[in-house]
Amino acid sequence: MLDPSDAARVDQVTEAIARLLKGQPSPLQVDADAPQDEIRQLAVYMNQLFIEFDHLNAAITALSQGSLTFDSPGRLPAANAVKNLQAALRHLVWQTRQVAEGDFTQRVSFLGDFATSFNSMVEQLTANREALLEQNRLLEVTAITDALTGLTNRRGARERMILELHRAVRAGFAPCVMMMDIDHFKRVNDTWGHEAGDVVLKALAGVLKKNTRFEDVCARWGGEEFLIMAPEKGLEFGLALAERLRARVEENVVEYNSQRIPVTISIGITTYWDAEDLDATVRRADGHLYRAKNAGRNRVCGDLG
Amino acid sequence: MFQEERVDFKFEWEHLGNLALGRPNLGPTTHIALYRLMQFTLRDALIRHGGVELANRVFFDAGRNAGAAIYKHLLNAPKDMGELVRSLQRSFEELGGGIIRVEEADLEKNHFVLTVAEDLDCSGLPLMDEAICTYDEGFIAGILEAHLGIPFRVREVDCWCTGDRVCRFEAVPRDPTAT
Ligand SMILES: [Zn+2]
Repeated sequence: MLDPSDAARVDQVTEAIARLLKGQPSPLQVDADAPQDEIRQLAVYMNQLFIEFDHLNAAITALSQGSLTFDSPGRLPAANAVKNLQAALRHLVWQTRQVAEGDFTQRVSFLGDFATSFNSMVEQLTANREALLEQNRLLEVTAITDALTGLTNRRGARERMILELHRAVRAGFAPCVMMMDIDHFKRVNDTWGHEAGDVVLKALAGVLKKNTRFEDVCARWGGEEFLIMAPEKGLEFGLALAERLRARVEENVVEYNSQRIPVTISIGITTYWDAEDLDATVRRADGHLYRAKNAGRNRVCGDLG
Repeated sequence: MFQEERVDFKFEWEHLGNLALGRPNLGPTTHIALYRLMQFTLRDALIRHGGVELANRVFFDAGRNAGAAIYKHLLNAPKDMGELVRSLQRSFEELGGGIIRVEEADLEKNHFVLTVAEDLDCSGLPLMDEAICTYDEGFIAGILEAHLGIPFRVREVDCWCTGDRVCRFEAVPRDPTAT
């Protein structure tokens, strides 16, 4: 404020305001020896406004460039609004990070339309994830289930048997394992066709399921071969069960196109020997099964005869 | 209960009394002005009789006991930080204490930055270049200490009173041997 004339000093302030409005703020020089009057006060306030304007400008520029770490000392209501938005966005960053780490409970309760979109995105993500998990679960079940009979397949049976056998070994126990095979199954297929073969396989699976316990492994091992393992039950129980199964299968009426198909099975039974390979147990049961076949079929052979 | 001298803190949740029995007509809520009247006249008297440092220590300790009590009685033993934040947000909004948000949660370093909008203590106060939510600092320390089992140092880095629209608190583990 060099010019002592009041009119000229007011002009200077006016020009400063005009520059501010054009976006080119430049502070006014307020000299120590300038008169201590209202015009001087106006110039001082004007300069404070420049500073606030600068702070606001800096904050909005930082925000528009994506920075959320800026520190703004601005005091204008507009500056406060920017800081409010900054705080909201910082929280949003954290929430998004939480979602990325698997916390799908995060919801945004501010920022209007954006909140609605964010929340529906997270809900969609949650739904998709749950659908995927369910699909995965189904796939896992499918992978260990025999499609025709609904029994566990060989893969599923092996997984469960390994688990059960470890448990049995720890308990110092030898559980029984039996392999069975439909007698003259080739003849069924040749005489009545493959569809009839499927009916027989399904009927057998039904008899096996009905006559074993929930905790027993009851599996289609492949082709017309089935396997049963009874956890916590030894050879004596196994032999009785095998004989019962053989009899039930023989009694069970299998009908195909109003014709009765006679079905019998042969069974080989053994026990799991301490810590041996699972395949060795199955091979031994298979050996007994072939003995049963050779001895005339429709019978049970095992470790004891 | 309220009149005996003590060396250890003796606050119990039961000291809040039976509100249903005691306030059948007015109910459990009150005007914030009354709460602030209590808080700021108390602060005034504490400073007058014991100085600023004592007043701050009293507010911090009181807030910390309140945080521990709220954790124990209202937050339902949260399993992890996400659950803690959610339950704290919910209780605080229900009680009208403020809108709590998290800006940083480093679970390895136990470093946290929380903000409280519409804070019970300071939202709407005049600007004065000093953060004043000492009670909240203690409160957050009390909650974190109850949840994580280690002592915390909590500082209000931004406050409504220093020109921000939210109060921002930084919490870091405190060296238990330091005073
Ligand atoms: Zn504050």
